[in-house]
Amino acid sequence: MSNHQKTALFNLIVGLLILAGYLVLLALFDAKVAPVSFAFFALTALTPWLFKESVQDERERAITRRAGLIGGMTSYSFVVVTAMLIWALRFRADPPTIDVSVLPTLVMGACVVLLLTHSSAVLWFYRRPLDVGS
Amino acid sequence: MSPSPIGNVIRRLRFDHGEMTQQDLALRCQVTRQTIIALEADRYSPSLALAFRIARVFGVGLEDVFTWQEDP
Repeated sequence: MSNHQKTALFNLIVGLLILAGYLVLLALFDAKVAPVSFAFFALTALTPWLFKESVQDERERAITRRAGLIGGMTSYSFVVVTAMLIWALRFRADPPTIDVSVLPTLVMGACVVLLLTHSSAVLWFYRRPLDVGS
Repeated sequence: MSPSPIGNVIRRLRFDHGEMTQQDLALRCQVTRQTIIALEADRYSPSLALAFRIARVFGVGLEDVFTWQEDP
């Protein structure tokens, strides 16, 4: 397993840890405490130290580019759909306002989606046929 | 995704050249060993630059390493 794959696997585990932590804190406390789990994001900063990142070759660069595209598209879709869903749910509320914690949670949620989809896509592309010309 | 139409004989050429390891070839071509593994398994079609680098390592022409597999 290359360092690129190890980094993706580590990031995937961190993403799942954040998700699990959020759900546990949500079940035990409330939506105001649950975002504390986003602190696990700091673990991703360890990857250059844990897995000495060497210069990527052309295949790894192609995988990174494609995984980044998938991650970016998914996370953008998540933000748009979730934001519109919140708006639709709160539109008829009285007063029609949203909690102050919604925006940072939405932004961090998008980051978690990006982390999960990007790292999953990297691992997936390593197992798939790849043509740099396609 | 359909399998790559570009086949190769890298594995045979490695053994014909003193049982060169995948790691040796990877170092000489400036790629990772995983890329050589993917190439040998026909899971990766290289760029023209990498194809030339591989052919140069074995001292042969491009078409002695890579073959175009026409659809039946």
